[in-house]
Amino acid sequence: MDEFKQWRRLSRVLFRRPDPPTRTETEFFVSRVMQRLPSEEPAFRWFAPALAFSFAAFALSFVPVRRDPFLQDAQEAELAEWVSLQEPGLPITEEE
Amino acid sequence: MNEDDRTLVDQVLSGETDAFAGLVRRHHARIMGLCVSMLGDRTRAEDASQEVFLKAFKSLEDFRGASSFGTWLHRIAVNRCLDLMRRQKRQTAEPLDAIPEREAPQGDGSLEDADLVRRLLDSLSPDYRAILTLRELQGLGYKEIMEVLGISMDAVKARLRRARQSLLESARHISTPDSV
Repeated sequence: MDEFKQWRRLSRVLFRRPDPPTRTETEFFVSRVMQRLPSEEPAFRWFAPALAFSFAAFALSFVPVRRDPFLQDAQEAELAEWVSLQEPGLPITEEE
Repeated sequence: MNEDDRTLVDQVLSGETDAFAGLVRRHHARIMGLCVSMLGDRTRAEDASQEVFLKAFKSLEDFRGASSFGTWLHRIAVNRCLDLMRRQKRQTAEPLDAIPEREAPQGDGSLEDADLVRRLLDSLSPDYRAILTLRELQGLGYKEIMEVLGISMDAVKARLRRARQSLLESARHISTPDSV
């Protein structure tokens, strides 16, 4: 019983409830915490567009490339013209 | 669970970040008191309290509502303070032969002496200091302490008993015989 009394006395001194913070102190504390909160933008915000782009690129790689017949003809014609200008046996040189 | 806390938690989870200010405002005094008692330093307690609320914000989705928001917040605060206390203890650990002869206490050796109070609290292990703070200062019941510390009811009772005995022993050694 004596020890209990000693404990109560000791506890009252050691675990004295501190004065509650004033309203101003609390508001100051609240504002500092709110300033430190992580921004609403999620850290992985860049991830969604990057993923979508990768997926689109991947999907497009399977689409067969349709060659435009007009462009194909034009390319072949240009090549033929260019080859015909060269004399046989001579190295190919740049046109001046 | 307190309805106001529940409402505020739901608002924050639905994207109204500003509602978190309400939770901070409601629990600031108790969390700050806990940190001051455990860390014994107002500046460190202030920093620790801020970190507690930041951690709570980040982990709010994990809060299931099984215990009250206050109890959950206490758990975060106790863990943070224990972590800081253990880290400080490791940093200040001196080899035995490097400790100079301690000077005699400057105070009058009574419990009104602030230095004596600080030395008595510092003599406690972090776990004892935590449980005594929760019980004596915060006024938590056994069940709440059980939830905060994540230990059984029997362990709560045993640890409280040992912590009190340890503090009484220290008080008998440190203070003058008639002061305790």
